[in-house]
Amino acid sequence: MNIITLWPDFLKSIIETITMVGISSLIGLAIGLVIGVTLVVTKPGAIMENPWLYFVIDKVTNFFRSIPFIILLALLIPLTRLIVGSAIGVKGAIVPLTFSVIPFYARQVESVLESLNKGVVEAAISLGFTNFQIIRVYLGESLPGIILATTITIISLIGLSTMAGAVGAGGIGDFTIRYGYQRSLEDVTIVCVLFLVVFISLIQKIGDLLAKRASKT
Amino acid sequence: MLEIRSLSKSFGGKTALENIDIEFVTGRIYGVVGYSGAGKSTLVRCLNLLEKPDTGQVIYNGENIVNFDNARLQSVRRDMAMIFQHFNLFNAKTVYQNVETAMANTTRDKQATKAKVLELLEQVGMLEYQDQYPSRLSGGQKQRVAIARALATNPKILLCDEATSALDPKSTHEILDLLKRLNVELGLTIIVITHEMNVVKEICQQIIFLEKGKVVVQGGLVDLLNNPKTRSFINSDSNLEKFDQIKDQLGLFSDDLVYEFTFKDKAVNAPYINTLIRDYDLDITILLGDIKLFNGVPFGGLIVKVAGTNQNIEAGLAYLESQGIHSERKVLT
Repeated sequence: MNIITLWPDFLKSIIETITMVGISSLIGLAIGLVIGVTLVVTKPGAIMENPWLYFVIDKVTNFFRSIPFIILLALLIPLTRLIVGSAIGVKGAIVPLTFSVIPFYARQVESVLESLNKGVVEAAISLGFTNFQIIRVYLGESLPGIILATTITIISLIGLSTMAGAVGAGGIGDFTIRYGYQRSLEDVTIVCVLFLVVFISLIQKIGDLLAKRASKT
Repeated sequence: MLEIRSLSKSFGGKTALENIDIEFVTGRIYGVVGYSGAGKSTLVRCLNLLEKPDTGQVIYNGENIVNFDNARLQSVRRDMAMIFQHFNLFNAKTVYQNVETAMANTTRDKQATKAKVLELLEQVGMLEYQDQYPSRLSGGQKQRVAIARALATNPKILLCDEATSALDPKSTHEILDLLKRLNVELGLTIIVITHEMNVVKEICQQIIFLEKGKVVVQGGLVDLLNNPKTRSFINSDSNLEKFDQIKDQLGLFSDDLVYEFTFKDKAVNAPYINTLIRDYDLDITILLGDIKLFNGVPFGGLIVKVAGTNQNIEAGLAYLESQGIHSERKVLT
């Protein structure tokens, strides 16, 4: 079994993936959440209506949403160097992964918040809530949906991270391509696939459980 | 205390409200009534500026609040609470937390907040449900919680946007009773929007009847009853409205004289029909009858077939008119 001899490399690749996904989701989800909320509250007719700000954020979000990750990886090289000092390795992958996750998550958050019954928002307004309190109502009432959106985002981020091998960031995707595909070690491919299936199912399961706990209906 | 001056509002070129002037007096219960699309909701939503009027003023405590900044508007809204047809509770919060959250801007003191929340829940009869989530409650219970939440900021005015339209008759009655009680106990001014005549009859002291965005009648129930434009709305739940549906099956001839008599107050139990038969020599056949209470005042109606000489009929009807009983000939074809 080739996978046994490659075991240290396999573990290393998993840690690389977790590092990449972990850091870029921490930053990306936080920024994405803020942008998603901003989109909802600055929309025409919304509580902090601001057509100019909405227009800019909406268009920038669309711009980054339309670039495939592998191209974003190349496009952002100068920026990545500026931010983390290097465009290669795990560090180099984190910047494009973050940039890719922000618009994805922002749109998910936007759509979850938009689906909140407008009457509940009006009730909050009619109670004399401040804008900050109304945003808390938005988030509190939409929590189960936000948890599910977060789960989907993290899973899609794991998918994207497998491409990070292109900038030498390693990770499980890079490991599978190098050994399983290029050296035709089929058992390596199979073990990696099995690992990903279990890993992603686990994340989905945790997300579902948390969402269910947050749901009071 | 609260006044609307020459207020207009349109949506995408379609006029919803046109040049409305209304003054609301403290401590009264107002009914904003009319058919669907008359602009009732828009009117009430303009009061707490959920909708911004195109032109005109909303005067609260002597100030025009239409152009207030956010902070001042928020404090006005805490004075002018609102409840909704679909309750709009915070579903992720318990009954207790729904009321508690509403208090965040008025009280910081934890002990005081808790005491007030419990007092409000007691007042609306929902104390034992304080730890439940709204999804577990019935419509009537949800509206009680919504009322407790609305009262959390000690408002002076309560706006009710079709607050009982989604409830069954029993819950409707209970909610209306609760509103009446709050009106008396807290001196709360209540503005009720409704298309349901039974709501109007049960609690409204003053009525504003809207039609196509304009105020048609403004006054007490009697004023609505005396106005031909609003009579049919008032009678929309009356037994007499059946007449048009069943008249063809009653075996009437097209030259029969059929009248609708309207009795008010004490006239409902005086022997007028008897007088017509005895003193005016008329034959009277009763076809339909109805009696109901408007805010405790009885109103009756009769649809009758009258036969006799023309002279006697004229004299009989004149007699009724002199007694304050309105009669109106029904069209049979």
